[in-house]
Amino acid sequence: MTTPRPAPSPAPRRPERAKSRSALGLRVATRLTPRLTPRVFPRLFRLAALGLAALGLAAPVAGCHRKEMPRVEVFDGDSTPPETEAIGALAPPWPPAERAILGDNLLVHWLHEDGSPQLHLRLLLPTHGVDAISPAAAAVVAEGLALEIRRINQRYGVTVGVERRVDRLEVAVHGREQDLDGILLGLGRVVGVADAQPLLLRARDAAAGSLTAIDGETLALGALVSALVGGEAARERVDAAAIASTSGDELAKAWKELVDPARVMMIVHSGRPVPEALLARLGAAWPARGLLGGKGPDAALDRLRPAKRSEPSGPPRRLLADPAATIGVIVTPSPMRSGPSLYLGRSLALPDARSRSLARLAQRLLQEEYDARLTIVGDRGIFVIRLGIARTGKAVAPEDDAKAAKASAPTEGDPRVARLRQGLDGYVAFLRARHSRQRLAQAAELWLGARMVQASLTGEDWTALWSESIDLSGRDGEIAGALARDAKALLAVTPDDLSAWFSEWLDFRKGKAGWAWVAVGGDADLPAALRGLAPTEALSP
Amino acid sequence: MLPLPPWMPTTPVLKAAIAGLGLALATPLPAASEPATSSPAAASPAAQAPTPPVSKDMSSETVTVGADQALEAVLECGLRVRIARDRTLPVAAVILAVETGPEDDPPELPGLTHALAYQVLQGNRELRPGEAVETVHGGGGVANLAVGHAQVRYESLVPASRLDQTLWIESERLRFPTTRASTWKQALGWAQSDPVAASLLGADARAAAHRTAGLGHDGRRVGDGVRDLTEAALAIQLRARFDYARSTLVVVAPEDPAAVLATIEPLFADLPRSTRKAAVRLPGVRARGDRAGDPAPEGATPGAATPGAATPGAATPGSTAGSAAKPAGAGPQPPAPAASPPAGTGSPAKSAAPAPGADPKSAPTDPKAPGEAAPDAGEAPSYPLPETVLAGTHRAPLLAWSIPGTPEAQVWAAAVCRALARQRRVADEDRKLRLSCVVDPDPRRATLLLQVTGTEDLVGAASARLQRLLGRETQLLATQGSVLANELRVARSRPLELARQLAAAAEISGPARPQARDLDAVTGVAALADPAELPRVFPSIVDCGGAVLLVRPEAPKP
Repeated sequence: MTTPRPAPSPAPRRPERAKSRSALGLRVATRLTPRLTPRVFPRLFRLAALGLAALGLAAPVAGCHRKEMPRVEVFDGDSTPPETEAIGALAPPWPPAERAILGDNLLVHWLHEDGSPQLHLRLLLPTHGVDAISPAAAAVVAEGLALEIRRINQRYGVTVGVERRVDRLEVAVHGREQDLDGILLGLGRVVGVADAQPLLLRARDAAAGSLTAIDGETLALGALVSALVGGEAARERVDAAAIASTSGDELAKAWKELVDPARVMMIVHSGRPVPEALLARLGAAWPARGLLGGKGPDAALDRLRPAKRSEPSGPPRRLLADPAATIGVIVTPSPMRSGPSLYLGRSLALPDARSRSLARLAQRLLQEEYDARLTIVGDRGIFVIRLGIARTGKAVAPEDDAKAAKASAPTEGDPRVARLRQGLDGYVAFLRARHSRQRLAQAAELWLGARMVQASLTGEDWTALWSESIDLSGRDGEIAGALARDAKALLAVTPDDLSAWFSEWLDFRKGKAGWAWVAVGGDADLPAALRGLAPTEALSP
Repeated sequence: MLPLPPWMPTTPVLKAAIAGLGLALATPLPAASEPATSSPAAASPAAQAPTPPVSKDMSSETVTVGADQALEAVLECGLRVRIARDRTLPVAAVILAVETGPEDDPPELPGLTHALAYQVLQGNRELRPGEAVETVHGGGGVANLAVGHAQVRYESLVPASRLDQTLWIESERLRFPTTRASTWKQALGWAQSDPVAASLLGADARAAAHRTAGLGHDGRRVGDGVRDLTEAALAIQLRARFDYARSTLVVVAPEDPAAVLATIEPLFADLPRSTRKAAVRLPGVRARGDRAGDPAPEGATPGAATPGAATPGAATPGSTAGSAAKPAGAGPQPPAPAASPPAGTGSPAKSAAPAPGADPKSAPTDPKAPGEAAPDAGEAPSYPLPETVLAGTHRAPLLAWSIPGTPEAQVWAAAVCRALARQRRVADEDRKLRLSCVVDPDPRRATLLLQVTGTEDLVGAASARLQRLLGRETQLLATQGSVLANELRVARSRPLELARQLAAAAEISGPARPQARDLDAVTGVAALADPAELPRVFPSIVDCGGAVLLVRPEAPKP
C-alpha cells in the first residue's frame, strides 16, 4: 500500500541546533521563550528556567516547541488510476497522494496538483469514540475552529465552512496556494491556543443563533436511522437549545478531545509537494492533549470509523410481512410545511464496489419517481424512501394531542391509508419492472457526471472528493481509486443484476429483513389513521 | 419555463471570490492581449481588418500549447475558436458567444435580440426544441443562457465524456433555427418572464455613459413589433444576428487543445466560407473640443458624437423587421449629446440636457447638479470637466466612464476602483470627502461609476484623486493591479470561469492559423503588470473629462 518516498526532502530532517536533551532524556528546545530577550532580565530568565526544570515542568513546555520532521511516504501509488483512465471513468485524475505523519501524530494526506493556484485544506474531526462529548459540543468545537481559522487568516481572504458527515465533522478551508505558509501557520496558532474556552463560548452563541428549529423531517430521519443502526436518536440531535445548554467546561473538554492531533486527519490539495519543514512547524504548534496520549492510528479509516458499531435493538424486520415492524409516529406540534410523510428505510450491507454501485444505481433510478436517499459509509449504507401522506387539515392542539391520539379509533377506510397502500404498491411494482440497459447507463452517467460538474462548480476541491472516496473504501489502500472503481462498477451493472438486487434488498415484503418506518405530521389523528396500515408506536418529538 | 437561469454578466463564483475581497468587480473580467482598441482613434483600420478565412490545412499544423496558454484560430466559416486545457477534473466548459445583444435592437423592435436568444434554444432540423439543454442536463451538466448588452452566451459545463456531443450541439445550434409561430410565442414568453437584470445603472444612464443610443432601452422588455414578426422576418433577423461568423466558440477541457481543435474543425467544415463579422464595440466619443481646456478643433461641431459601435468588415444586424443587415457603421444612433459648458467656464451643469429617452419636461429649472459647485465665475477650472447628462435615479450625481470592451481596460478599471477605495485623505481635502467606486459589469459595455460625497466640488475632488493615482500614488495602483491579477488567475483555475474570461476577450484581427497565446495576455491580466498601460488601454480614465456626470432629473412639478 505504501512505498518509500523516492526523493528525500532538501529540508534537514532533524535540525539539531534547535534541540538539546534534558536531564529526563527528552528533546528540549534551547530557546524556550523566543519572544523574550534574555538580555533584559538574564538573571530572572535563568532562574525561571531552572525553577521550571526543577519542578519537572520543563518537559511539557518543551514539548510544545518540539519540532520533529514528519514521516512522509508516497501513499497508495499502485492503486491510483492513471490520469487518462481516471478521466475516462469520470473520476479526479489525482496523482498518487503522499501521507505525512507529523511529530504530534497528526495524519496528513497531501494531494499535489502541479501549478494549481488554489489551496484547499480539510480537517476531519471524528466524533465517535468519545461518548462523554455530546454532538452539540462537537458541533460547537467545529464551529469554533472555523471561526478562528477565518479570523486569523482574514488577510488571506480564505473561506471556511463546516460540513457534517457520518461519524465526523469537517472544517474546509479554501484559499490561495501562495498563502499556504501563512494559512498553515495560522492553523497552528488556532489549534495551539492554550485556553480555547472564550473562543468556544463565542462559537456557541454564533452556532445557537444560526440554527433554526428542528423540523419534522429531521426528527423522523433521526428516529429512523436510530431504529436501523441503533443508538439514541435524541442524543444525536443538534438544535439551538442543546447547543445553548453546553457549558464552557464541556466545550473545553470537547475541544481537547476532538482537536487532538492523534484523532484528527488533515487533507490538503495544493500546488506544491509536501512542505516538510512547514508541516514540522505545524506539528510543533499543535499539542497532543487528548485521551489517546498522542498515539493515534496511522490508517485514515482506523481514525475515521468507529472500532465498534452500535447495533439495532431487536431482530431485523420487514414491512407488511413477518416479522413486521411497527410504524413509529411523531406528531409535531404544528403542521409541517411539506405535509405529513412516511419514511421507509433499511440498512444495507455493502461489502464491495459492486454492491455499492448497485445500491447507488438503484437509488438513482428510484429518484426519478420517488424521493429516495442513500448514504454510504464504507461497507454499510442507509437507504430511505419518503412517501407523502395526504393532508387532512386537522392540526393537533398542543394540550390535547395525546388525548386525541388515544381517543381515535383505527380507521380502516381512511383515504390516507388507501393512498399510502397505493404508493407502496407502486413502489413494489417499480422494483419488479425490468429497466433497460440504456436507462441504467443514463442514470449512471447522470450521477457520475453531475458529481464531477458539481465539484467543478464548487471550486474543484480534491479534498472533498477524497473525503467521499474515504467513505467508499474498506481500507486505506482503496481510497485513491475508489471513485474510479465505483464509477466503472456503476456502468457495468446489468438489468438482471439490478433486478436481483432490488428483490433481495429493497423489496420490503419478500426481501431481506432489516426495515423500519417512521411517520411524521401535524395531524392529531395520524397515529390512529396509520393503524389501518400497521401497528404504530408513538415517538416523542 | 425553461430551466435556464438567464442572467447577464453574472459569474457567481468569481463574484463571490471578488466580493469576499472587497473588490468592486462583479463580472468575468474580459481579457485580451492585443493592443486595445479603446477609442476610435486607436481602432485603426488595420487593427480591425476582417480576419481572412483560415486555410484548409490548418489542422495539420503542429501547435504546441503550454499549460498557461490557449489555442486560438478562426475557421473558414468565420467562427473564432479559443481552446484551453484544464486537467483538474474530468469536466469541460463550452461557450458559444455571439457578438450581438440588445444594443443592436432596431428602435422599433426593442427586446428583439433577447427573445431571439431564446428562440435559438427551440432547435432546428437537427435539434428538437430544448434538446441542447436536455443533452447537457442528461449528462449531469449545467446549461446557462447569458444575454449581455452586446454579447449572448450559451454556456455548458459537462462531464468530459460529453464533450464531443456538446461540440456537435454547438456546431448545429445556429443553423437555421426553427421559426414556427408556436415556438416563437413560447420564446417570447420565456423572454418576458425573465427578471430584469440587477444593474447599477438604468438604461438611459447607460446609454448616456456610453454615448450609444442602442443601450437606451431595457433589452428584456418585448415590444409589439417583436410579437408581430412573421416567420420570414424572424428567419431574417435570426440569420442577421446569430451567425457563426460573429461568434466565438470557447472550450476548456482536459484534452490537448490541438486534439480538441481537430474535433471541432470537421463539425464546421460544411458551412460556407465567411469573413469574420464580430463587431468591435467602441464607446461613443464626446464631441471634440468639449472638454474644458481642450482646444476646440477647427470645424468641430459641439455636441457631435460618434456612433457607438464600429463593425470592422462586418454588418450590424438589420434595424427593421425583415430587412437585411445594415452596412458597416450604420448601427444605432448615438444619444443626443448633452450640451457641454463652454470651455473654460467651469460650469459643467449649466447646460445640462436630458439623456436620450428622458422626459425633457423633467429637466430641472436650475440645472446645477446637487452637491456640485461651479468654480467662481470667470475662473477656469484646472481640470477637465465631464459632460453632464440628466439621467439615472441616483440621489447623488455619479461620474460614469464607459469602459472599453477589452479585457485590459476592464481589469484596469477594477484595479482603479480598488485603488480609489484605498487612497488616503490628504491635508487639503474635505474631511467629509467620501469616494465610492464600482464597476457595472458587462463583457462589452461595462461602466465605471464613481460617487463622490462630502464635498461641494465633486469633479475637482475626483480629478485630484485620479491625478494622484496616476502620479505619485502609482505604486498603490500597481499593488492593486497585482492583487487583482492573482485573484483572476485563481478564478480561472475553474474551467467555466476560464471559459467566460476567454469568451469576453477582445475581438482582434487574426489569427487565421492556429496560434498559442498566453492566457495572461488573452485575459488582460498581463496588462496589470504595468500601471503605465492604464492610460493606453483606458484613456478616458485619466481625468473626469472623459466621464459623464449623471444627474437625476427632477420630477416635474404637478
